[in-house]
Amino acid sequence: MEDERKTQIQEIFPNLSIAGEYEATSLETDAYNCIAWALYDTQHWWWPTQQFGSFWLPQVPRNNSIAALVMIFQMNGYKVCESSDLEPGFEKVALYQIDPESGVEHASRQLQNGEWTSKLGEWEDIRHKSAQSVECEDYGKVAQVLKRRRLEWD
Amino acid sequence: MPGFCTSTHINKTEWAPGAYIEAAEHDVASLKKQSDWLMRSLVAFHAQFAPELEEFLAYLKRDETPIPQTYDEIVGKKPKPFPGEGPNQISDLFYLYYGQGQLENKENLANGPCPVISSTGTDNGCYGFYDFDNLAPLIKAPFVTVPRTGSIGEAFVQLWPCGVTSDCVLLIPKADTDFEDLFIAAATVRLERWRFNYGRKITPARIANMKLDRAPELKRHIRASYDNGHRLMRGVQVALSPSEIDDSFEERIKRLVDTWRKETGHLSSIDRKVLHPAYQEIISTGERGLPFILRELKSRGGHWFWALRFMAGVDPGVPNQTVEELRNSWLAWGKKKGYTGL
Repeated sequence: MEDERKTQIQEIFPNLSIAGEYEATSLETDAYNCIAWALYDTQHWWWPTQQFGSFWLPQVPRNNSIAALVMIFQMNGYKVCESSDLEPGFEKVALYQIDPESGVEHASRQLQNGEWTSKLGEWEDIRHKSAQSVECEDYGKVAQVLKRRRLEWD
Repeated sequence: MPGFCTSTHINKTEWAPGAYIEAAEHDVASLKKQSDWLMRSLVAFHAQFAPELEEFLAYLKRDETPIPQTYDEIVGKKPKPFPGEGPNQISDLFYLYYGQGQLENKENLANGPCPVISSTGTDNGCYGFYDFDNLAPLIKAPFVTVPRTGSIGEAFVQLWPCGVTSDCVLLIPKADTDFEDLFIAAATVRLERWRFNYGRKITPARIANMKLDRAPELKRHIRASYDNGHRLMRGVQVALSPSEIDDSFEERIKRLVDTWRKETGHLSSIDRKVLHPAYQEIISTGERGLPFILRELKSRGGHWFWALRFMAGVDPGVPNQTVEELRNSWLAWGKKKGYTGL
């Protein structure tokens, strides 16, 4: 990751300015976004906008409300839960909101070791220590956590 | 002796080894070296003729100046396919024509603002600047000129509208031909020019089947070299097309693009991206900003589709395309419309 990007990340995500808090795990790409990455999809930019390269499920309302996003993850086997703490045998995703009235701005997914992974818009995928690591002014805070049985568990 | 000897049937019209020995596989290093040379030639041409090119630019901007046309529009027909035409051959990627016979007798030309490309091996093939409005139209760039007499085979890439004498063969890029292919074609012809001489001049048919190595590594090299060369050309205060001469405009749009990328690159929300003030300002540049944004889409990607739709007034995309597919649709549209660098 270039120094310029590191500076940008640290300016936007105050929690990531701590050394070792995150690591880039891909190159930047506009092929997919955070919601896609949380769903293991690297082919689509999930967003409710009609056209312009966006992808959305036809049976889900075309908006980025928590309810619409929860529906998408429920269709993928997730159920809402309370905590983002690691639970052996489960995989979790976190949805972020700036305030209760705003839509979902970001999604991240928990890794087997309890760390988390996020696709930062068009920027790189990163691995970060906790769901809260990427809380910021533009994403807001973790507003909803969902979990499902981990399909593969080492 | 492999690599040195060959056996073939000699036909009645060709009595020269260059007609029969198969083309060597040119390695990427040789092609890079040739394309670097071509780029230096372009930059040197801009530096040496900066005053003339500025005058030419002013001429192009006048309302009464005829708009340069593509050469296939000027000729009025496309050449027939060549026998044995195959993928990645010159004739697969370019239309081949002879230059403008009206400009052959240069003694008839009065001094003026428009460049004329001839068979000279220096100054990027430019013979001089003339006024030939009444003789022949300006040809829209980019394209490749290949001298068939004079400095036979010393091909150049032309980025300015110009006139071309019939001492040259023109390689006019087809709709799907990449900008980098111009340099690859010129470099390849240069490496194969040993085949030709005054007894065996270059004709479209004799170079049509030359195979071009379009390796991604080579294309990346050419693109980087061009970007660098473009900056140098700016250093002598000339530019590649009228829409690009306005440095303040280009600087402004670059600044807007950088601001938008920096402030929205981490967002997933298409709505927030397109409502960003820098994005809206880019949209407001309309058709003038279109070439920049198309090149930006090609080189760095990004969600430019909303802006492009408003700037171009059309949407070449089809429903349910992914970002990658939509990008390809827009770039194909841009090429078809004649925007360069795509």
